[in-house]
Amino acid sequence: MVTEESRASLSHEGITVLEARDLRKTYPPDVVALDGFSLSLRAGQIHGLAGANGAGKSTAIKILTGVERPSSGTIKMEGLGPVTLATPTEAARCGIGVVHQELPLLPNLTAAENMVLGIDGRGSLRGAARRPALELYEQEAEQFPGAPPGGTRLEHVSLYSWQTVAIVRALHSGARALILDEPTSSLSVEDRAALHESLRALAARSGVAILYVSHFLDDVLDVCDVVTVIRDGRMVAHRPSSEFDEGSLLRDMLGIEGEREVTTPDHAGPGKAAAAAGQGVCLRLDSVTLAGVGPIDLEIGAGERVGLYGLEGSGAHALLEALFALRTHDGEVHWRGRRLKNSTRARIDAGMGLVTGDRKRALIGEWTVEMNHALPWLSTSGPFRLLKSSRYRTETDVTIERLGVKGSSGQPIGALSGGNQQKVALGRWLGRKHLCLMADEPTHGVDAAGRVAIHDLLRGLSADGNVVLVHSTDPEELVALCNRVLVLVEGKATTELDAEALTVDALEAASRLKRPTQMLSAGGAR
Amino acid sequence: MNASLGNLGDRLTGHLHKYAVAMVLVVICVFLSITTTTFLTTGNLTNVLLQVSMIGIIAMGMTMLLVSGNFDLSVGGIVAFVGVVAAKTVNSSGLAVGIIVGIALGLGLGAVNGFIVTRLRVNSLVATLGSGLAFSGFALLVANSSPISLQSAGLRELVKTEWLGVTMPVFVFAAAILTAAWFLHFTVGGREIYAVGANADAARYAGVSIDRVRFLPFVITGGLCALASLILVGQLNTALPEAASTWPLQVIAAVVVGGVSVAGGRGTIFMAVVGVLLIGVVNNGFNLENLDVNYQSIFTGAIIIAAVALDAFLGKRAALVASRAAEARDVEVGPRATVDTRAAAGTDQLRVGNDTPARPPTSLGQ
Repeated sequence: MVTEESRASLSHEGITVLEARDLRKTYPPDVVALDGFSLSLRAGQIHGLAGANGAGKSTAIKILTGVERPSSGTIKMEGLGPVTLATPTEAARCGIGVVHQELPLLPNLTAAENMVLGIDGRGSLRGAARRPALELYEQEAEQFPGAPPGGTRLEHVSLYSWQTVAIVRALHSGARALILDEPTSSLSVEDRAALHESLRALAARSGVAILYVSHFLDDVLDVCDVVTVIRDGRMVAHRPSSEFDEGSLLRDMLGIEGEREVTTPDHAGPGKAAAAAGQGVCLRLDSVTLAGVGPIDLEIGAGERVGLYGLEGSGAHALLEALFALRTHDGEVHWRGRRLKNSTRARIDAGMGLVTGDRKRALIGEWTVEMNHALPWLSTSGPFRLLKSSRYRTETDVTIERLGVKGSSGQPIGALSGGNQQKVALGRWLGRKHLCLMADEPTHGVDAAGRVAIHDLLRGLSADGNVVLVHSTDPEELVALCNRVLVLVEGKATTELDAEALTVDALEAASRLKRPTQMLSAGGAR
Repeated sequence: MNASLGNLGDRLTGHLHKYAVAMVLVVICVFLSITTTTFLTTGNLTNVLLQVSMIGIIAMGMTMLLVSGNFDLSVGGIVAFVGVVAAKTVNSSGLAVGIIVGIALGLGLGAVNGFIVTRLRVNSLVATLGSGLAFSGFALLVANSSPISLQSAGLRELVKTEWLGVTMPVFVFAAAILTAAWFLHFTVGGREIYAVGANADAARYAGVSIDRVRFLPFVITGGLCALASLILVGQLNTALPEAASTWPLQVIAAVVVGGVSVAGGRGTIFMAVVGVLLIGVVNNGFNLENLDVNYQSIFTGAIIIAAVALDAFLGKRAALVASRAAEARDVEVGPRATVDTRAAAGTDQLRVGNDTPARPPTSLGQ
């Protein structure tokens, strides 16, 4: 999808701001991360970079931002000639700005303070210094519609606003090439669109060259003018985005030859009928209430995959965490006829499990795969029981085998790719008869193939009669995965979409409507 | 693939990181053995062990606390309080009752600390700073601000009991080491202490009760303080209400010198023992070399900072090496992984031909 204005800027053929040629990066003894990768970023263009996990995307970003040095190859900046980017500071000085997923901004400072912090050799702004910084901010923010007012402290604004401040900060420090690393991964659809709109405006108006790196193919195709696909450390495709569709992009990323059709799997498996034919209600929420959310009533039968959807702050995420007792709640949760106590331990023992896309929070990176796998099961015996290392290993090996994890039991789990970490995080809950698996952004930071594998796993689980409850900010994920979805708006369950009514459009519409409408939901809210 | 030179260097860094302080200890021991005639004698070595035993016993508990992400600055207060109460009880009700009451009180005071930290949510540094002051105050109150002499020699004889030329406190220290190592390294509870210290969120997600896990090390440390206190009272034949006021920092210094992280989640009983011995040997060396005692504090202080700085440096290097290896593995495995996963997942939408070039298998990280 290419808009008229981006097509126009494509034909402009702006000057090349950054040109990287023949970048090679090898890690001794014999690993080649980048194998002659070239990239040129033109002024006023949004340039997409797509690749599977391990393709060399992150190595390329590290080299362009001065975190790592290439083994060979050159980087030229317009007006500076060949540059050596030995440190991130030097890269910034050469005009390369980067905005990562994690935003290094301070919540207790204002947007304007965050913009100038450290760049102008100043700390917090008092008295006389405050006004010029604010003016400076307004000036810079003007280029970037969507940025919060300069006097607002960041603890009071949304994630999207943080991101815009990070971008404004990069522009303020003189970035002419702006690298956005997974910019949309935690944004709602609305914020995503706003970000894309702002990026287009920014590129067109200021002539900044933007490198947009994302797992989300639709995002890449939506906002980028040209797309480079990297695979095995090499550029394998470079075309205007209008010449790609999601299928061809995925084919290039994964290196699948030929014209075979690649489609994302649609919702298959046992639908509503199977759930109705199941053994009745397994999970029952009875007036579950927590800060700003609820009361929520919900009944889920065996073999169902139920989604929770809502915009940021709608409470869908909080509700899922409350069901795992990570947040305290009022009301009752019943699982297979038993009322569950308000403790994570009790809920795990009853048959619940949770995987989250925030793997840094859920896994201990420096621990081995097998100890992470065993962690939930340590507490089941008293503290003075001996560790059963060989049993942990056997159980982990079963998971590795069953889920096709690339990695071994004894490795630190942090050394595995995101998708493989997620499989281990998921695998540790398996092996029980009746499982209620809660998945919170299960494929966050996971590559396309890993996504498919994890979705299949979740489908397989429900096919075996388990309950799967998914929260995701990606409506497509829920449409692909769920039998029905409960939509939350401002803490209330407003709409329930069953398999027939479940589409991305319906989800997006429902998440913005405060009252359920007949048109959207067959069943309506309970 | 072959272990190339770079690989070897990386591996060496890892081991250096683990055993750096132990090597410093060995170097100092060798130096003292060469420059003095008295260091390498059974008499002197058992003396060193005896001198470090009390600090060492408490250090075992402090290690667990640091690994769980907490501190205890009240160990001096517990030692003093337990000492006077135990001495009074021994005088009034006999040795056995005195020992039992002393240990029970130590466990109880540890539980008080645990309660303040895990239930009242007070930062452990502040909580134990406060409780330590209070315990010292209680000690003075109970003792009426004057030393309490033991009226019978029972405890003194027990502490002086010798076996194979080694006295009781050293055996207690050894038993504390073994028990602590068993608990921290080989049991479920020990592993949960590491989990909570390394990543409390991850522990919570896995259903570990953070508060329960954090509570136990306080109680263990309290009990160990009681043991050390009984030894101290036995050695002096007197309970001093103002005893052990410098112990909290001495114990933490020894444990930290050994390489136990103050940030939680990292450190072993072995490291703590090495740290305790290092401080003991350095003190002994100053005596043997007839150096001004004032230099001793300066030197010990410098060693503490140097050890932690070295740990930070080597830790950073080791992390760098590990992340490089991880990244290399990612790159190596990545492309194959995407293909295999699809095959394993069995999705028909993504059929892959057999002509996908497979990379040679790698032994990296196996």
